[in-house]
Amino acid sequence: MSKQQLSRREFLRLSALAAAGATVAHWGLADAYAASQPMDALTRQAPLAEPVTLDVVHDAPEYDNPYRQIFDLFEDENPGVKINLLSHSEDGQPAYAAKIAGGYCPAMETLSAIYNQTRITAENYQNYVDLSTIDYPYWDLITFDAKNSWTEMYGLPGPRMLSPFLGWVNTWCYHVDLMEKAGLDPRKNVKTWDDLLLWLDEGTKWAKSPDSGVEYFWDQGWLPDWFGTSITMDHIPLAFPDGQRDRQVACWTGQVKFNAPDSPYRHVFEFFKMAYDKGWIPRQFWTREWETDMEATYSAKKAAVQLHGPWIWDKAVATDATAQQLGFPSTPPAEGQTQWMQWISDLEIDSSPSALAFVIRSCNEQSPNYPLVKQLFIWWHSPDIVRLRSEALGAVPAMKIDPPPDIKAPQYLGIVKEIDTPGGLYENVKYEVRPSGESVMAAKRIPGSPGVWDYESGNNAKYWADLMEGKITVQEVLDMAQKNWEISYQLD
Amino acid sequence: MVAIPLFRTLQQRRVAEDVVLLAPQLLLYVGLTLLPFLVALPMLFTNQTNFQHTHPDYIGFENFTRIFTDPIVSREYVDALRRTVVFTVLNYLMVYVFGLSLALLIYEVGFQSAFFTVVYLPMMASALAVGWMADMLFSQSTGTINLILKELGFQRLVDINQPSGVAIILPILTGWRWAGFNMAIFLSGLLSIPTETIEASIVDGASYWQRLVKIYFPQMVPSFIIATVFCLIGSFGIFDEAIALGALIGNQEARFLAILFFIYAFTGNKLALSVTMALQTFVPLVVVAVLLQRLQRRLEYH
Repeated sequence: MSKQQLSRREFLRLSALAAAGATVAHWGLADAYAASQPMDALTRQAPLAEPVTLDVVHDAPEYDNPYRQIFDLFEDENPGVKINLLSHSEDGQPAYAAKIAGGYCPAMETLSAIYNQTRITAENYQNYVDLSTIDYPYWDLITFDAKNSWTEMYGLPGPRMLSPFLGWVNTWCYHVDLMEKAGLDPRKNVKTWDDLLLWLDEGTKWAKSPDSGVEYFWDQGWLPDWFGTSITMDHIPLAFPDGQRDRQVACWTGQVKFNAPDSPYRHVFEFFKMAYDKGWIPRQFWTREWETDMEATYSAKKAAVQLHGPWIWDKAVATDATAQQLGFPSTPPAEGQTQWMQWISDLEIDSSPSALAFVIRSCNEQSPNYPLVKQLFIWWHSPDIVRLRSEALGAVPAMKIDPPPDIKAPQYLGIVKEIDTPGGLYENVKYEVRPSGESVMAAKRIPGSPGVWDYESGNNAKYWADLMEGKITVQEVLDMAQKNWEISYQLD
Repeated sequence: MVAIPLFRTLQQRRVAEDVVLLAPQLLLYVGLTLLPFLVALPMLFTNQTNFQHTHPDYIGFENFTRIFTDPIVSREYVDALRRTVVFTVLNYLMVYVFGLSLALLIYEVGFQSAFFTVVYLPMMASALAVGWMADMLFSQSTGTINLILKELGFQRLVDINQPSGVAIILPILTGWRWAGFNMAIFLSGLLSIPTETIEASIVDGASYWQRLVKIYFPQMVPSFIIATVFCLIGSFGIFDEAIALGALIGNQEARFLAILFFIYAFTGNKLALSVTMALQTFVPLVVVAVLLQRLQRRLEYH
């Protein structure tokens, strides 16, 4: 092969051409992108004089279709206004955070668009508009004090987010045909905590039999926040007399130690340790992926049971439209506990565990379109639209709406409508609606600290794994929790 | 009035021309790499938790010492460093398994351009897609390979959430993806070997292995060093593949250094600490890269 040498001049010429080409291409793309964005203050155009595009960003892509249909109504009512609906899921959150840091200013977004566990705190509240200033007329229709709760918690002007919905519910759910095949009827036979343990045991034995056709009775995967937030940590103790919400909160406020002999949180770890030792949940479940392993097996009917929220019900139906599912409240009372309590996620006051809470970023206040942004926000949270959102997503509104929404979501029909409802199958089961300890203490959290369960960094997988494998004890886990609490919260 | 040329000499004109040609690329490098680095420098001395933390406090050099004084940070860093180093070593092996093997194959056998295209194609796939491919192949319950293994009666599956799983699968996939790139580096080294030296060794009766070890490799040292530097940079920056393997949602074994910095910055409310740790990791790597470059110059075969 003959040797050809590239001279320095040629090399530089080629490099410059390449860089110039890339730059021109970037500018071209940037121009096209900028043209699709809402006008900023520098253009100083009068609202509605020309077509206006407002960006709405949310972090639940599965809601794109219903949201799009609802926002079409706003466009119909407001000619000349276009709603640009954008969404991403958890893996898109960091890119979105960088975009916001770069100056992007959507008209409206979900609080969790940047990060699932975002809370509105003293460090970041100025990023969001004080919603008490936007003349929202429906505060009195919301069934909790959405207008003042955040201010009372943090002592700062607000509120800064709004979600007129009740929390989501985490229950047992199962495939009806598989349960019949197993010869089990939990709705009939599970009334106490011991009944629950027996049901899990018998179900697991059936699942392991050759003719069951399933791989698991109860498949359980791993998510750091699932095993670190109220979802599980405040959930399981509700079966026990010393595990009720007031004692949970007492731990978080420092009145009771997390590692006390009668700590409410002891029950969480003891239950899962027992479940693991008895084979009710998969080996090394902390390595099972949430969607591709756990949810996939349930949707494909390779697992009979899940302890989950509304999404798995929807996914099972999406996989098989004929799937019949039912459920029952997750924590039947143990000995000494008289009232059957059902966990429900916290009302959304400073955080949004459900991707339903929306905020207006404060950069909008400098935009000439700000009146329109406020109008959009008020419209999105008006009773008629909340009804539509409720029916579309299966979320129960925390708003007096007449007529009430006609919810057809699988989980609602399969169990939620039966709980704490006159005439329902579980009318005597009560939702635990008092705020969780983590919510009560949110204003006192030291930024950057691990938090009691150290889930935000995902480090909880280690101690859960060590506990399950017998490398540490329940007491050692609770000792760690107490220590984490002491370095994570400032009581003054 | 006499016009005075801006650049009097030919040398000056040539330098000016070079600067003009270099300017676009230089602007990009300064604007997208150096400038953000300089802008982020003040953050190193604050307790900024995230991008929404509007008024961080000055804390001096505390971020720089936390890696040594904070037992939790120290343990997480050491664990991530260990995983990254293991991956780097195995990935480096794959550079030769894939890259050198293919380069030797092309050099000795000779293939048409279609072969180049096929080898280069994996580079077109995004790293995220490669990671998701690993997920689709090796998920415990739904991974294609594991389903096949189960059908064949195997009890032991390939688990990407186990240390051995990640340690084996990720370097293989990364090596496969970068095969074309590494092949090009080694092929350029092979092509620069004077053919007379090869012919002389054949005449002298050297076996192929002897030719490789005594003739090819000593004259390919610059290529080896370039491949080493690129491998080092790429391995310490492994990120997208790890994301797809679930590094952010519980797969501890996919927590490499870049992932750790990301978690600290975006979910752990430790943005300033994350940037500091990244700098503390980056500086030794730069030193190693400079030393390797000097070694390359010394070991060039003349």
